[in-house]
Amino acid sequence: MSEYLYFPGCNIPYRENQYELSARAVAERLGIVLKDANFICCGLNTEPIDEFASLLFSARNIAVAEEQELPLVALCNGCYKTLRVADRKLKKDEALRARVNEKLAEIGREYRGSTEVYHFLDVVSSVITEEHIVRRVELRVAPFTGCHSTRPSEYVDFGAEEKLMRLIRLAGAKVVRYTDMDKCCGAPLLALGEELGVSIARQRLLSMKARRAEAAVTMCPFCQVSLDTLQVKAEQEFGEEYGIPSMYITQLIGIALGLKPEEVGLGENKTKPERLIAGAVK
Amino acid sequence: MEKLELRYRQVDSSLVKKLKQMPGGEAVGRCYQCGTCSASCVVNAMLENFNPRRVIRMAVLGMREVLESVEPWYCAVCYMCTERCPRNVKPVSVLMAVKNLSAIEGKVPQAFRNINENIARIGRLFEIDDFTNFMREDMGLPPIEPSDEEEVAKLISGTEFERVVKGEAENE
Repeated sequence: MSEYLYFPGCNIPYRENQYELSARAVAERLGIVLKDANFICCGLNTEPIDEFASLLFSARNIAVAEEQELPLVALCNGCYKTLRVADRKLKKDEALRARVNEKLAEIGREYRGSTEVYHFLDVVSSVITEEHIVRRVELRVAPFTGCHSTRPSEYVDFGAEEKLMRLIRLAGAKVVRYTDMDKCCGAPLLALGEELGVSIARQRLLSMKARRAEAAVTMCPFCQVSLDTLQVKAEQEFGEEYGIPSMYITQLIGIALGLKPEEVGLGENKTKPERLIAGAVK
Repeated sequence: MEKLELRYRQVDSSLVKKLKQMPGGEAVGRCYQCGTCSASCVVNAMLENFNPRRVIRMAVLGMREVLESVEPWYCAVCYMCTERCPRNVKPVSVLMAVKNLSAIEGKVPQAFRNINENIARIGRLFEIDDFTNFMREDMGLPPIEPSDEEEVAKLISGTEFERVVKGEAENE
């Protein structure tokens, strides 16, 4: 049995709870134990203002995992990348670690560099086998890794593309190859106005549609907001119909593991994948 | 967003030196302006006025306009340019360093200031209220406990981040 400290991040508990629900349900089926702790922002949002503060936020969260002697696991690409990069930099750079620890001492914590940061997809991928699968979801699925599960490759290198495609195939679905799989979803730009984010989401959806994808599968709340929430907006704004319900990989794999649609929160997705899934389950 | 223009008005030769001392800005001098960053950029594909190659050029030339402009803040931080840059300049990190420098001078776009106000106070982007926790309970999820605001305050005390977000870095 493997145990991890679960890092929810800011977005998932606020507006994408179905990701956490499906991840917890999948973890339970696979014998992965997720422990909870009081978290703060991973540091992603503070980075443009002060890179050092971003490291402080990351290091504080990693230190909490170290206190519990557990590896840290994130569902969000943004959290994963930020924590992972900080962890790698701090493990390598003693002077930087000393500066960070000087601040952490003020809150009674210490970054020691004794644990690891993982993406939940990586954890699932290392545990799951054919034997766990109880039914097939026969769909043409466009995998979407987004950015921070694959880049910067200097720090982020767990093979997200291959692992995401393997899980989709394990679920009985067909992987649709298209050009935009690891491009930016556009959601990070929503802070500066909706228009840009919606236009980028539209590009991704058109690229999936050109290859006749029936559904999109994501592994990050930002990507899901883009392909799910913004898909609805793009359809209204551009007067187009994409018809590509978007779901988390944990929702798709959960269905293949025998979980019910409500156990993976499918009803929470804005693009309504329930009917498509019901028709595809074999 | 207005297009930044190459005009040698406020040339500040110390800008590139400062940038090279910032984390992420170290390699800015290696840029040979091939434009691979801009050609790889999804934001540039949508918005021609966002041009990472030009921002880097202007910074190297010491044009302080880059610090005043909202342009670097449009970077989506997707790292496609950083992967492809043949000179390993790490354009995402250079733009991050430019933003950090702007922040030191108090020039943070309101949207980014707003985002970080919650973070400076509760350590998180969004406050998880009773309604959200009630919804989570309904789904069978554990509640999100409130963060330790005192811990957050101590963690950021004395940092540039605190100074900027609490408005003490405001110019004039």
